[in-house]
Amino acid sequence: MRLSFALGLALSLAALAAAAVSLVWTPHDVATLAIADRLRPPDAAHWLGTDHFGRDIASMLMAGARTSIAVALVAVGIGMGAGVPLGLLAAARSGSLTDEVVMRGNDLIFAFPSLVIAILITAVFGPSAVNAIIAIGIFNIPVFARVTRGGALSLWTLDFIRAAEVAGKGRVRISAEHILPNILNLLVVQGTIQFSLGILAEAGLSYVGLGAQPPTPSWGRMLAEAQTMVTLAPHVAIFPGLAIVLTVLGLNLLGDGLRDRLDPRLRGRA
Amino acid sequence: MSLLAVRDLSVTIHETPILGEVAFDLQEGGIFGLVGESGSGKSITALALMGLLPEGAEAEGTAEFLGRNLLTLPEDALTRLRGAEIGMIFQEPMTALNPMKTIGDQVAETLLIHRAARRARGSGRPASR
Amino acid sequence: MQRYLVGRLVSLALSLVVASLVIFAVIEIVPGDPASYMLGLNASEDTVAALRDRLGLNEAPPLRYLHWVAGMATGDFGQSYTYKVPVADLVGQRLAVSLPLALYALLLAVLIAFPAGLLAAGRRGRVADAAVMGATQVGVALPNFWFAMLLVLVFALHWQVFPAGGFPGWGEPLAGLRALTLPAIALALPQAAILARVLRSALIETLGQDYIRTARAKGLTAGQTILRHALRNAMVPVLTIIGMQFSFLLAGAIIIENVFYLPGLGRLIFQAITQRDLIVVESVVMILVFAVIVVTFLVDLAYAAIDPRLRTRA
Repeated sequence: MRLSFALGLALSLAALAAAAVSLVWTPHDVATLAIADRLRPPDAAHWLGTDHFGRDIASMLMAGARTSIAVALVAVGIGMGAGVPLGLLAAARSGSLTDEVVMRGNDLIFAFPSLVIAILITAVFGPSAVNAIIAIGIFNIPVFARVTRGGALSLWTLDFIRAAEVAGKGRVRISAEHILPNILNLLVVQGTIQFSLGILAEAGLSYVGLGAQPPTPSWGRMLAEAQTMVTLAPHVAIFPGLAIVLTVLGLNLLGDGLRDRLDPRLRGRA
Repeated sequence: MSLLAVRDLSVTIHETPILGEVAFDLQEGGIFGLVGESGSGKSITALALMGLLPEGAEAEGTAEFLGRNLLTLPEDALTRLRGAEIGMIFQEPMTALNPMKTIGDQVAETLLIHRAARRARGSGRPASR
Repeated sequence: MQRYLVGRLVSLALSLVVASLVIFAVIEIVPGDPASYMLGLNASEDTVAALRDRLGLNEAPPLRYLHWVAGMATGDFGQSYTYKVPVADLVGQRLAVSLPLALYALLLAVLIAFPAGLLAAGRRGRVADAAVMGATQVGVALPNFWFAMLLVLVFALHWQVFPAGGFPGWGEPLAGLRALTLPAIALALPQAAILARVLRSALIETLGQDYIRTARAKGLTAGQTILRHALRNAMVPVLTIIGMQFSFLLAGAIIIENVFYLPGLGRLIFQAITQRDLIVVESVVMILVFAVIVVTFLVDLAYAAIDPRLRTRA
């Protein structure tokens, strides 16, 4: 197992584990404020120190992992759920009006960065984790549609697909039974990438207040709150940021490693 | 005196021998045909003489040209020879030329490059013939 | 070339129209009654009715849409509900910070990414390549606003080389640039990491092509080959990414303004959201999307400039 893949797997699993464990246990209770203990640097009682309200940073990071992972995961789900069928449809009817409409639709959504979509949604519906999920999810749709369409198109030219067509199978069945299983590898790799991007996006949205609202913990918001204290207690700003970097890095390394293993033809394209 | 004298030319790729002890002479004004089956090493021979072997390939032996061994010349010396003293035309035009430039541009490029290089080196006259 | 240009222009116009429809629909139709949404639950019937009148909300939606578009075409973006000044003025002031910031960051990103990508592709498989790949791997994982905080810690508070925040205005251009430098660097680095990787990969692909060998056979040096053949052909995927990056840079600029307390579009928009100033939100979103669509168009033009085959094919 290559070193970078192993590292990526380890980091990703660590983040997932932190999130999962936080559902039943954290070193300290995340909700209790202990002003007397505020801004403590890391020590035996608080492994990563405390924030300006005396809350244990390690515990908050674990709980924050839940938010980041949940948001990013569901957003990928939305992207795949809508994007993959659209991509398959466009490839099955390549060159037709349907294909053109799907491609134009993709380009349109690409004109709206997920931050802008989030702004639109929160302006009307108010900020929340759900709205962040929707905003990030919507931007994922054209990504998956494009990747699916690309992968499917190259499969449609292959002989075994043509054989299925000649045998009388309809395009929908072919897409589901033959095309989809063969592009799964592509989707897994892209899904991992979008997952890591989703974590970054969620952090950004929470940082400006458009994501998960208090009391739901979030890495981005931890950074926003830490901003004013960056000189007094840098650890409050450093640890959440490190959590984000390590998780995203881990997922990226995992994605690269998966790409190498699942599709050797792509190796060397890095 | 031959224009080009090749002796004991051998090529290995990643230490696997693919060409062994090729030898021939080229006379000035002459036409020499190297014939062989697919995969016998004709292209590799030519590429070895040009110093354009693929990554991982090594050439041994001697190829005397104008008093120097092509196989041991440094890269900048080879660059001056290629396209000016030694030309190579590839068999597949669809891939051998840059699809985003015109053919005319690419043919002219050889002349431009060498003229500019000669000016840069300070010699006003064309090299040899 | 004509057909290609016209095709791209039609695409541009179509995108703008559809985007504006989407924005209009979300802001003015979805909340039901924008006026009562903006005024909140406690507003009296009369106030809501008056606002509805003033905003022209009693007209049928299609008409309102046309009025809005016509207004924008003449530079009238309505009046901010909270500030009672023309939105165009507000946006103009803020754009004077956000736009230069985004462009500055784009410039830095390209300046950092190109040498890095070229180096990595040229020394593929060796130490330099591994170093660039390692650095960029970390770079793409960095949240730009966190990186900004670190930059402030080191370069503004510890070694006081740059200001920690604020913007002194463009009266003194150099002071203005200084204020935008740390934000631009924070924005640029993650994007440079992405760009360097894309460039490296595009160059590696290009350098493997046969015409590169032909170029060497004609006597071009390695450097000449890269400049005259490899780079140009590799630019197509790179341009696509640069185009997309502009939209991410704009979004990133908006977020990063928070770290440096810059008076840009970011602050305007976030305040507008909290104050439910839908008019401002509507206009700013339209402008942002417009900018992205225009940049995509410019990238399409650049494709045609680089790849002559596109000009004849349409």
